[in-house]
Amino acid sequence: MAPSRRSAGLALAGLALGVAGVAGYFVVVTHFGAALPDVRNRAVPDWLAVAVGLVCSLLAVRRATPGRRALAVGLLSVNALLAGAFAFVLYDFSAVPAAPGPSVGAPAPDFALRDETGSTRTLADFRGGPLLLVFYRGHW
Amino acid sequence: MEELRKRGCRVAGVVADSVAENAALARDADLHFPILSDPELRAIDAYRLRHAGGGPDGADIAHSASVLIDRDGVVRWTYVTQNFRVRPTPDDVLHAVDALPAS
Repeated sequence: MAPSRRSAGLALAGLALGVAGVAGYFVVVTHFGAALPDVRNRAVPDWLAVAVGLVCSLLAVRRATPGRRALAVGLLSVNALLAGAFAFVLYDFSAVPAAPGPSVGAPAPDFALRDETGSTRTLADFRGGPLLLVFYRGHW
Repeated sequence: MEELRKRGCRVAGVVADSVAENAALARDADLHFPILSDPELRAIDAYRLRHAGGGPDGADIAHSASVLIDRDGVVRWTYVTQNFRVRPTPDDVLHAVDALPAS
């Protein structure tokens, strides 16, 4: 294959990998989050796809003939921006300030709250067995 | 959920939304555990899980967190996320339940 065609293929493959990595992550989170909790939390396969994609884009720039260089650089920039946005969403956007939470080993604070049927429930209602209290951010 | 039930572990959700909103959610999501409404953040504060300004209009809400309480009412394990994308895996929770001392 002529160098310029190889470079074009690489550039497109690079961008495709980056898009696949990022899009794949959101597909997993929205549809398979419960089944693939590790991917949701760490996004390793997605980051791998993005990294390999960026390498391909970089190689494409190296190999591009002078006429094609601008296009290869353009595709690399788009890929890099996408990776940056992905990192922002994953780490900055969804980060929250630390909260102390309850003290482990201390008695759980009591409560009197109404459930979705309107009945009031207290901690005593759940005595006799372990209770997993899950706090949600809400505003579903 | 099945695994929790096998271990006799009950589940309850706590959220700052209203009873009406929770009722709609419970219907739509077909949940098998109660969702407790805490619009004044009383329990949320007692458990030190208030996220000031974390809600859509800058409202105060709860942090996303899980608290495991043993049969005697003592807190034994907590998972307070620093990133609302990250949640405890089902295995994390089951290990914590299995680590509880049997009374």
